[in-house]
Parts: sequence; structure tokens; C-alpha cells
Amino acid sequence: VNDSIDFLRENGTTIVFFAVLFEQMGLPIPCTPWLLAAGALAHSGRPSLLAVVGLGALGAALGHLGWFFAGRRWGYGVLRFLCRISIEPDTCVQRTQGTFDRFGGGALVAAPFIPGLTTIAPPLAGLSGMPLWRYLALDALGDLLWASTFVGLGYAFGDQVTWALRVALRYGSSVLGVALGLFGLWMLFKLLQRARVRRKLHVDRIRPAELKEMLGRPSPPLVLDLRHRRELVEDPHTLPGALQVSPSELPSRHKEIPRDRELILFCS
Amino acid sequence: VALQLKRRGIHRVRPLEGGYAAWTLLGYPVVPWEDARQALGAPLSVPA
Repeated sequence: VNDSIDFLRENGTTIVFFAVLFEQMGLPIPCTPWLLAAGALAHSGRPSLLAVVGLGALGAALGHLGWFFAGRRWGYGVLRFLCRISIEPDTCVQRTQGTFDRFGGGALVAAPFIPGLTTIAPPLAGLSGMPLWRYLALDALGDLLWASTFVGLGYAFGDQVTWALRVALRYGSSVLGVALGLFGLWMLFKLLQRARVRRKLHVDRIRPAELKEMLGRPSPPLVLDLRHRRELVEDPHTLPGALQVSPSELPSRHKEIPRDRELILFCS
Repeated sequence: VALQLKRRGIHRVRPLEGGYAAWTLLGYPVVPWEDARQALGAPLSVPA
């Protein structure tokens, strides 16, 4: 155990840098425990508190930067890809766009604290045309706050974190097993939740071929385009006869929807 | 959104499977957004 602790003292900053870099790039590698552990070990002066915070923030910023440029280069294709591989693709694009619109650049500062948003906010900033200097400033601020928070928590609760670290190192495989078990349960819960929502909507989905045929009828359905305005600017096309409505305003305008026509909704 | 509308009594509502991406992937017709832009702010009961 002591050898392992010494190894972490010697290599804590490097481990933190790469763990943060890979996690913020979107890989399923938890970096928070490393930030906490490095913060706790920094109590003794090794590794340096400033170095851990600095390299943690740098790793996060570098991890995000690739996504920013990807968003700038490939636009909504990147966002759709990220949302497709996310656990909640049905709400992903709309929710992240809503958060970004509500908080603007502030969403970038808060993003590292919000799971999911941390990977999606940089490409969203890139595709929205945010200037690079502004993006770098806001993202760096968020990353610095985020790294300081977790390293600071580790530093503040150094004794407790060190105790937990020793337990984890002594009973490493058991602790890992419990952690993986909890992660598996969480994944199962999210998948069941998604399956439940899909089951509710399953019978109600319309296939593109059926809609195409219906649009040729004398009384076609009412088609509502729920995509974000920004996305429409990128690809200024829509389905024939579709009306563009914001998803947030639709429930409040439900009385305007004619009951005698079928309503078809679509987004990206 | 579809669930919200159903809760409000609009039962004849269906989301498009695969969304806009699936529609364009199949090569189905799209129109310039200018046409849709004119409908912005218009009552939802405007005939399509």
C-alpha cells in the first residue's frame, strides 16, 4: 500500500493529466477519484497542489479543444454522433441546445460539472461560431474551477480521502467490483428508463415511407419541425409543408393544434 | 414533446422515426426552409 501511495505521490500530476484528458475527450474513464486523491496527497507537498490543479485544468481544456474544432468543422453531424452514443439520445440534442441557449457562454463554464454536457458543450460552441479566444477563455475558466473544486475537496478532506485510498489499494479488486457493480446498476436503470419511454412512444412512431405517402393525400397531416433554429440555418431545408415550432412553446400553444388532423413531429 | 401533447389531450400525434436524418437519408423530398420560415409565428392551424 505504501509503495502504491509513493507511486501516486511521484506520478500524481501525470496520472491526473492523462485521466482528465481521456475522460474529457469522452472516454469512460473516471477522473474525479484521481483529482480527489491527488488533492489529498498534496497535503504533504507532493504532488504540488498548484501543479495538480494546473495540469488537471490543462488536460480538460485539451480534451475539449478537439471537440470544439470538430463542431466547427462538421457542425451538427458531431452533435448527432455524440448524442447517438449517449445513454439518452431521444432528448440529448434538444436538451443540450436548450442549456446552451439559456446560459450562453456560461454553459461552457458550468459544463465540466454536468455529466454529458461537458463533452457536448465544446462542439456546440464550435458550431455556433463562437470566436476561439472567447471559447478558450470560458472553457479554461470552467476547467480551472472544476479542477480546483475536486482537488480542493481532496485537500480539505485529506485524511478521509487518504483513508479511502488506502482501503481501495488494500482491497482494490473488491472496491473495483463494487464500483463496477454500481455503475452497471446505473446503466441498467437508464436503459430500462429509456426502454419505458420508447415503449410508450413505440406504437406512435411513423415511418418515413408512410409519411411520404400521407403527404401526397388531399388532407395531409400537420408536420411540425422541432429542430433548433440554428440547425435550420446550417441546413436550410425542411419537409414539404412543415411548420417550424420551438419544442418549448408547443405545449403552451396546444390549443391552436387542429384536432381533426394528425400531427407529425420531427427533429434532427 | 409527443408525450406532453398526449397528456394535453392531443392523441393523434406521432414522432417521425429517425427524424430528419432518416428522411434525407432515404432521399425523400425536402423544400428550402424559406418556405417554412414564412410560416414562423403563423397559427398552427394553417393548412400545410
